[in-house]
Amino acid sequence: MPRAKFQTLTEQMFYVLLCLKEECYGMDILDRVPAMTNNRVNVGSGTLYNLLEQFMDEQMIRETKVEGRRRSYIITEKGKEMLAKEYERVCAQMKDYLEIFGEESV
Amino acid sequence: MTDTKKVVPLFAFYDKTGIEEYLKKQAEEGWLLEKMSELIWQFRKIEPKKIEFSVVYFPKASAFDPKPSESQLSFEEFCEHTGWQLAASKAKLQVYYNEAESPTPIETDAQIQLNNINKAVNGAYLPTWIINIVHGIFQIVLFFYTLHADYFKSVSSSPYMLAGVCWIVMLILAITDAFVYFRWHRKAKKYAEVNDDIISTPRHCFLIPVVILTTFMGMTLLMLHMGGNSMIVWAIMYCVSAIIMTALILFISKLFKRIRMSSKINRALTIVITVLISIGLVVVLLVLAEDTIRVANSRKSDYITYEYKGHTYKAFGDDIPLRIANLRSSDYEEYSTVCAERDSFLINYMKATEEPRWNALEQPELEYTVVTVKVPLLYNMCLKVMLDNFSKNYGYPEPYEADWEQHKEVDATVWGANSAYELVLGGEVQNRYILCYEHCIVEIKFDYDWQPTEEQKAMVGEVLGK
Repeated sequence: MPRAKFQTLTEQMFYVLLCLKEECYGMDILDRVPAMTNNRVNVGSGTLYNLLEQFMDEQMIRETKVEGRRRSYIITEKGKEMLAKEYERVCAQMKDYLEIFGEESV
Repeated sequence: MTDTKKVVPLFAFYDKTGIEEYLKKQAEEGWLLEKMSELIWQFRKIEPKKIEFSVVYFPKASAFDPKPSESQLSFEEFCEHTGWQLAASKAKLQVYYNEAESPTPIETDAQIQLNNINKAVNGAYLPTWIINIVHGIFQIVLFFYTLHADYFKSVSSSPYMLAGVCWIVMLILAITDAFVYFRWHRKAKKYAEVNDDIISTPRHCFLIPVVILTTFMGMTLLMLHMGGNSMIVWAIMYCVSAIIMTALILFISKLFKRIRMSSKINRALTIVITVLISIGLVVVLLVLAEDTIRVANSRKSDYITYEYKGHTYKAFGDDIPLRIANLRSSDYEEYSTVCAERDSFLINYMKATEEPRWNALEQPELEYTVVTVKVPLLYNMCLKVMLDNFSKNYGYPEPYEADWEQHKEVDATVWGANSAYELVLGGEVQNRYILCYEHCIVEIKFDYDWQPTEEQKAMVGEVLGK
């Protein structure tokens, strides 16, 4: 069954929103995400471009500065809510995992 | 050794996988894509090397944009940040390359990628597919309707039959193209939801050569068959006009872009100009074609005019294979003979009449049609049509009686035929016959008071049945 848009966040969406807790140039996210995740997660430049547009449309982020083609963004309250929901979902999954496999599996 | 080369690409618009693999192979052979136009891709010479390519679909871009939009330039900068350079672009289709080993792909979210491909295809191709399919269906329905309405006129016209075949081929290709894409998209969407990856795009580059080959074979067959310098010239004019029209429309659209006309106005004006030029071209070609066909079909022999009761009439002298003089003796020599012939690669249709002048209507007249069937499969259909039209131009009684018209099978051997039918209306023999020979079917009509003798029947078979 297809996931409703932003009902759950992919890893890439999650880390892009995380980067935007502080004001940040869009392009800089391409470097921050791999740095933040020790190169575990990479966001493609095209994917990032599309995600920023989609987040803007959903008012999950907003533009703070426009300097020519360089734009800065920051997460909105709605974006923070979506991020928090995703965090709770992942935590719930982790808790369920630990209940089944126990602490020694970690 | 030249530093550039041009190729005609044979890829579907959405064949991302095929295009990337092709460009990668070209780079390994020392060619890098530098320009894409409507029909041609241009490559420049480089040192052979391994380069990664990424075909990206940018739905917001338009073929009518006077220059790359701000969002497009932004996108390009994003890609440059991760080492991807724009090689070439053509509206919604953009090709990036990266010389690094295992670079981060431009697209790392399959569902977003698929969504962009779908938006780009819907914007670039969906209206064209719909128009082609609807138009193709309309043309094919019209083709079969005309075939049904006037079978021999249609089948004896090579251009008409070839046009019908071309429309059928074009419709199949349009449906196939759309079907292949939507089937792939449906599978790719399901796969992406589970695997977060995109399956390879389908390859059907055979469609383009099939179109080119079909058109070429059709035109060759047409020109070889029709003969007659004027018809060949007409066919060449058609092809040249279509090429000039396409080039003119592309030139005008590019001119609008050069003067920085907005994309919306450019698109609207280009569509209007395309429609106007197309209509103009069709009108010109139809006028020329009608003129050419009229000239081609114009009577080879002269005619003379004569006066009768204050009116002027024409008496023609066409050459016809069977004349009244071959069948019976007569002192009358002022017959008007008319022969109309149509020939295609399927049948030859010849209709001949020999009529006395208006001042001698008591003289006998003769009318016959010979359908030479070149393709044996069509024989029974031709016979059926001739039998169905046997009593054409005769009146029917009111109320209509089902058994009023009869096609009586008569002795064919006297005609030298395989089978023979006689028209009987309301119990009266009409002296009208359909004769079936091995390769042709003859319909012959004698005067109402002319019952052909056995010798006359044999002569008909000898002259018309071979």
